[in-house]
Amino acid sequence: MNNRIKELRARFNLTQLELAQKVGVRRETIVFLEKGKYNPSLKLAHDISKVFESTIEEVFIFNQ
Amino acid sequence: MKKIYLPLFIITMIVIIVGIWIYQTEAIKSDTALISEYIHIGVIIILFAFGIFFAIRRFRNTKQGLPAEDELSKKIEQKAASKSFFVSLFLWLIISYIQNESGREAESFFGYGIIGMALLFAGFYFYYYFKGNINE
Repeated sequence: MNNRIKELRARFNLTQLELAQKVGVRRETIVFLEKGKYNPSLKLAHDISKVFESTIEEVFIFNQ
Repeated sequence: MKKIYLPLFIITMIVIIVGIWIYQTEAIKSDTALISEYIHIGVIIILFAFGIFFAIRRFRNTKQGLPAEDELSKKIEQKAASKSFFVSLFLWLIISYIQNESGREAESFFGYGIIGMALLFAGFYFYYYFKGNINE
């Protein structure tokens, strides 16, 4: 699964720390997500999408 | 007591106890320690460093207004725990064999087994923390 977190974070002018604070996770989790090393839970995916005012499908791209 | 101070308190107590223990070790004091005694102390220092790493990480996250634990850290802990438990079954098998062959009393091998399990957990934790792909 790929994601656009890094791109959207730059667009919204957010640092990794600020995004982590907004969604209530550690900064390392954002780093792992951006590197594609971790697939988030549905709740975290929903929270991140909400910060970026997008849907889950717009932020997370499922490769079939 | 705040949640963050408990691990710091425990680590401080461990430092004091290990410090006193190393200081009081007669073999080290008299410079007649065996290599195995130095290895023993080295392993304890590694495990202690692992505890310090945990505490610093928790403290830093709390200071930044982030949670000390989240879904990723819990998942890493779970994976490290399950892998280290699985591998430790073989470790105990090897220890049983060595004990049987050496003929030494079994009690002396329990310590090695427990320390080995702790080292395995620390090793797997760092593997998943720094390199591992936990989407597997």
